[in-house]
Amino acid sequence: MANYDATSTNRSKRSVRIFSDLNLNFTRNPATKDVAKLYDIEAVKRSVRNLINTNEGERPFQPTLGSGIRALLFENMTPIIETLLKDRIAETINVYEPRALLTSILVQGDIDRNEYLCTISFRVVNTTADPVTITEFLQRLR
Amino acid sequence: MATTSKLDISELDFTSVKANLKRFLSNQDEFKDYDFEGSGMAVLLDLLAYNTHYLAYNANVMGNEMFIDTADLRNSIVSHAKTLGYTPNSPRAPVADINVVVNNATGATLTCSAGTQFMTTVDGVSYNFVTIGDTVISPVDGVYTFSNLKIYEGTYITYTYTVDTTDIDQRFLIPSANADTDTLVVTVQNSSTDTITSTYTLATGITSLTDTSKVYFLQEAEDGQFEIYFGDGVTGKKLDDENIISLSYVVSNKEAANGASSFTLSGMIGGFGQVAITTNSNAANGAESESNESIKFNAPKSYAAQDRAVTIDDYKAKVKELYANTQSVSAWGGEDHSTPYYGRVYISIYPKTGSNLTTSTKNSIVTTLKNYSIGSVTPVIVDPEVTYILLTSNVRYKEAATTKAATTLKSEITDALTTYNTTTLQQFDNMLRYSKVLDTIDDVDTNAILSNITTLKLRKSFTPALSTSTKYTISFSNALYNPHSEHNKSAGGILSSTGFKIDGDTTNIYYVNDDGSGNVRLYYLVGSVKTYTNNTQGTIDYSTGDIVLNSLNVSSIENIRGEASTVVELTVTPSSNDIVPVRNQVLSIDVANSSITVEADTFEGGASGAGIGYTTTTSY
Repeated sequence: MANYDATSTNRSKRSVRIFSDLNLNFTRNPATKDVAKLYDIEAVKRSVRNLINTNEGERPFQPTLGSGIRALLFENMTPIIETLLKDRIAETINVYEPRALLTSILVQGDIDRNEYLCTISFRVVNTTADPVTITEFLQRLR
Repeated sequence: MATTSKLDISELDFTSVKANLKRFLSNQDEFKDYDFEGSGMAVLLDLLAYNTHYLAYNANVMGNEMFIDTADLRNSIVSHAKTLGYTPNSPRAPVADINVVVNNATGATLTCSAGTQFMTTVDGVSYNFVTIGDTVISPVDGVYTFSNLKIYEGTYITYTYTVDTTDIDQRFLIPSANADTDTLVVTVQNSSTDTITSTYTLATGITSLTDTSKVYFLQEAEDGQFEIYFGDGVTGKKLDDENIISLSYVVSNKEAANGASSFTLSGMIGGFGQVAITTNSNAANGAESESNESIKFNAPKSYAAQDRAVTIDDYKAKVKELYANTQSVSAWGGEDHSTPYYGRVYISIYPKTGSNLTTSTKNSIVTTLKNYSIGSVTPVIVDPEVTYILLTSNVRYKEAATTKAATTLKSEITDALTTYNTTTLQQFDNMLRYSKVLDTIDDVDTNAILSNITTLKLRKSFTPALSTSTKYTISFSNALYNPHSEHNKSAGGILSSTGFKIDGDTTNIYYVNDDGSGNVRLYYLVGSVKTYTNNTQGTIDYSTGDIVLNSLNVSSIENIRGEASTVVELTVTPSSNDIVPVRNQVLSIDVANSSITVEADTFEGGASGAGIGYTTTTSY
């Protein structure tokens, strides 16, 4: 998946990094020449994005993991679907991402472009940083 | 990156492998997000754990396939059997024995060539029967008769291979999974220019083989097909380049045409088509190829027998190998026979399909068995004796606990008993355990069925020699119910029979019962009153279950359950509710003639009628 995160601007100001994850884009850190890593808020944002984009049954032996929003993207674009999308995303984050404390989710259908604009705001636990906002376009691919 | 740590590798399932990887990662601080399912680390851990689990599963399956006890794939089981020197049975074509008289034939001899076709119909489906060898006869008093012609159901196929010794991968497969290898005839022609042809026979051992022995070996190959291979020039004659191998065999529909009894010629015999066909024995012995379970059972036993029949188990294994239509075999030494007969081994075969074995089949098995048995021991095949068990069951059920009607419950109980009968009984050595029968009935609907009171009786039959004074011995081989002398004397003891007429009296229908003191009495009915004509017609031994009818001269047999019969049935009450089959006995519940009564129970806790006017069924 493409990396839209503003990596450099969302680091925690704490001296000790509490979350660290592998960047699945497997880009190279220019300084260490090692595989690139994600830290703190950035890691949580990536995790949230991963969860939303994971479909149920996709991960081996964890059939309930995932949001299952892909099926909804093939439904008619109505306010009901927007609500359902919102509920699914909220449920997924609440269950599988304990580091993110949701503050709001906004899902808006853009009927002309056949996509939903999804804005998720949350705080990251154990940090003093401001609420984080992720903006994701949900669009069916086929 | 991660620091080194001990990794537990004994776990094989996904969750344990993943937990181990997480424990491993907990010893480093480079990556910390492995515990959060949305993280990139979790995705990688899932992949690693899945891969490990996959390989572990593969290793487990491979481990299973390495042993005959646990192998599941046909090819693995066959391969294990091969190392034990055991060749599974191929499918068997039904075989019938017929006489054919050709009416319009001429000439000094007449040949019925291999592949001559006959037609028959079983259950509305036409089947083709063929001969598998040339039979030449000469007329006797101008009549051309093919006697005891063996015909096999299926299509007669001839398949040829040309030997190419430069092709190291060349194999000689019989290209059909339904080929009957018993019908296989292998001939080898020297080459396309040298037409000298030799017939090769199946090698059954290697001790007598030389470098010139014209033999082939048989083994099951992939996908149920069979493969033949030849000697290496030391053990059996080796094939040469350009040899033409011809395989002739029958591809059959297995057991579908068993029982076919009427045949017509399809085509000609030696150019003549006017024939009269009589059937000596109906088509029988058609069978599926040997099942995986059967191979697992038989291969080690066959190996233990070392191609010899010495112990009782050797005979059991050998008979199953020789006669594919065997469901169950019982064997016992002559010293254990009811009347000891030393120097004999008795064998009883319960066939998968059809009734008792024909005399020619029995003779054929005995002749083959003699090749393996000790010189002084004679194998004797006796028919299995089926002892039928008649149940009388009174079942009470709670009406409020089910939506089923009594008739539905009854039919479900009948089905359950039928299944119990097929799966648990109908084999030699399988006894009827009373409590299991009760459980079978109760388990039909554990919520609704409250209780069942079930009693049982045993039934056997004998075939009287009509209008001949004969002694009959019927052995139930189980103790019979006789709590005290003269038990139930006035009502007829514990023995009853179906009707028959005796010589010299064409009016009355006779029956037998016992007096509770060891005597069998002959009587006829006047109205409902028994008129005894012989109080010592025979004896009944309550401890051994033997019933002897002395000098009984039966002139005709009455119908049984509305149908003409050739047998007289005797029914007795056993002493124990657990019934043991002995020697050639097989137990079978006669579900169709058992009495099952299902009624709603009135003594239901809390019901208004509880405790008032309640009756139970007698247990005796």
